[in-house]
Amino acid sequence: MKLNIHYISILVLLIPFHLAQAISNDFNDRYQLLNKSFEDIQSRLVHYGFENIAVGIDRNNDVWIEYENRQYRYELTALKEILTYATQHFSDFDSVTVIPLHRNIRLLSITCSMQDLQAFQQFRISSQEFTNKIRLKQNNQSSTQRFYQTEKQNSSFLRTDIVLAPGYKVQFSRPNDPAQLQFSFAPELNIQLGTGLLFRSQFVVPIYDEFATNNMKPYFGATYLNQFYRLPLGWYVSGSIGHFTYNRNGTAIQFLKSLTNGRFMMSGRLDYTTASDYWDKNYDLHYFLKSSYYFRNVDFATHISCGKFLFNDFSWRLDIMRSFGEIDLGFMMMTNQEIKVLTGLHISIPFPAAKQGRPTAFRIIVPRNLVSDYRYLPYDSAYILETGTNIQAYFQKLTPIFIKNNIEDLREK
Amino acid sequence: MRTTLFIVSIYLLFSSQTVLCDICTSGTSSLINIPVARVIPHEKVAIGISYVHHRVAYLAHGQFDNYPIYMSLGYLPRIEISAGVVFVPGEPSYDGTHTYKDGVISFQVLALKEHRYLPAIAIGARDIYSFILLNTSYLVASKTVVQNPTVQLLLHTGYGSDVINEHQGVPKHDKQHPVGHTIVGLFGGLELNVRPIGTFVLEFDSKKWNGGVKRQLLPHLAAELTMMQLMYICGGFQFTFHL
Repeated sequence: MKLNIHYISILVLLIPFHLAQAISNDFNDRYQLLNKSFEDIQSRLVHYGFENIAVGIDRNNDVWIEYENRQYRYELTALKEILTYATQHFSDFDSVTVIPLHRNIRLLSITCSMQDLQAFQQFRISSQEFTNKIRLKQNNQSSTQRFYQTEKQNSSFLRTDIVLAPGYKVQFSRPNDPAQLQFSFAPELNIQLGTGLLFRSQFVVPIYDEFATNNMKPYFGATYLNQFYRLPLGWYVSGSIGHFTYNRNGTAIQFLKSLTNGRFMMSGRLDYTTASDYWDKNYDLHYFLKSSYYFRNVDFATHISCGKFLFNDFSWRLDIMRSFGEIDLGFMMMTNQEIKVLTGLHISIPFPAAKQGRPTAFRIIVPRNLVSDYRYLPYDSAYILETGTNIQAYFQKLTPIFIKNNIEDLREK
Repeated sequence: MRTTLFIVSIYLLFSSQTVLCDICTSGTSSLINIPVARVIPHEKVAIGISYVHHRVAYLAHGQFDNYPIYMSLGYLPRIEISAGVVFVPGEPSYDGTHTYKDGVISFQVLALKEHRYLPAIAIGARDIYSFILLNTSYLVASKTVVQNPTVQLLLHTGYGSDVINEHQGVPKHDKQHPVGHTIVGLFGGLELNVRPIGTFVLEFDSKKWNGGVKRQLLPHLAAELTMMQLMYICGGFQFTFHL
């Protein structure tokens, strides 16, 4: 009897051991299988031109894909490509989470069930139904629960882009002159130096200048080093050091807090700069606070800013911005004690190249958009320096509201 | 331009398609001169050019023909905005050329959509910023009185005001110039869509009677032929597309 108890106790001890071994073997087999298939998928996505790609599954048997797009002009086109690929190759999984990156930093997560995604892409459910089913989160913490993931492939580290950008400025309604014009060739050098770290240098070659600035000599435009961080709880920070527009040298830092899943954003900016033209290097501190609200059912946003701007003017500035897919049209109104009211408009139209060459160690590309700010009168009140710290520009419209409002752009036509 | 209008008028008389379209001189939704209580559909763009006979032109009245060029946009679901330039060839300009140019910025808001017993109501203003020569601020109501598959009759009425009487956003010395107003007082009009013949309009723009016909020439191109003051032939083209 005593012997039997010993046998039983040995057996009881051995069962979990064998069970664990069996699970381990099963896991190893599955790991090998996953590793092979996911690396295969990864290399295909690399072939498509996406960067910083990682593929994995989490504990709920949901597949996720991280990617960075520097190839497609419109981020929703890149997202559509990824989702189409996911539908074709991950149909065995329950759901898919796609995480777009900017400079290898996560912007948001898009999660939907594979069944709903297939139904949407096959026109079996409407855009509105899919909008109600898809989950978009700017502050997704699911990366902590990952069960398996591949190593990142096709890193954007040290990749260099030369952007062949035109420079232009126009001012209408000048006395004795219907329009003042300025055209230049302004190529940019962009190098990704690490996660969130970018070096940008612009060289401006004036071609035609009725504003009579810089005596038609080529000069360096904005040249700076910018670091972007994503912090917990919807906080973002971006800082730059270098030479900015308006011949200012110095540093700039911007904080942004995203609330209610990107519908409301608050940001603050500090610029500590000096004029690079003068020997007297007195640094000036400029600052402003900005609150932005993005409307729910239409791509319309309002931005209210106040602070001490570049010309030491304490101004209020109201910007309204309407997006029509890739086109932006907005208006601005500035007010301070000196000018009373100044108005202008902002327009951004896509540059005619929907897809650039695949990112490589060195490539020559064109800008995504032609952006222009026009002020009705040639005053520079409430002027915001181009320092590369505009965090809202990093999102490239990849916000939950914009994606939901333009969900039809994710469907293969 | 007059030859083109003649060709268009022949086409309008003998072609067989008809649709509603809002070609006008201001850019915002109008019969001919007077506003109507509707707006361009959301995310739609209209680009147009018109010819206005010098006898009925607001700028350089009696001397030179006016050529308004405009672009209107359904900016938000019930708000349309319009920006344009009125060219007056022959009139000397401050910039040293012989073509006077006046920028026009306008907007219109559809405050109330039409219901069974209530008319649609819109408010708006034309030429609201910069050097103001073609301004009116208005409230307009529109009601469909007959609606069947072949005939639609709409009545429009409203009131235009000269409440904006100072140039906005211009240097101080420019503010001394008088502000120009177009529609001040009561205005109204009739709009008759007869399928498949055309859209006929008749309006009183607070000063004179105008009539005209509108047609869609191609899927994105529409034309308008009008008799301003019921005497002078004017017209225009409009190209529309969705963003």
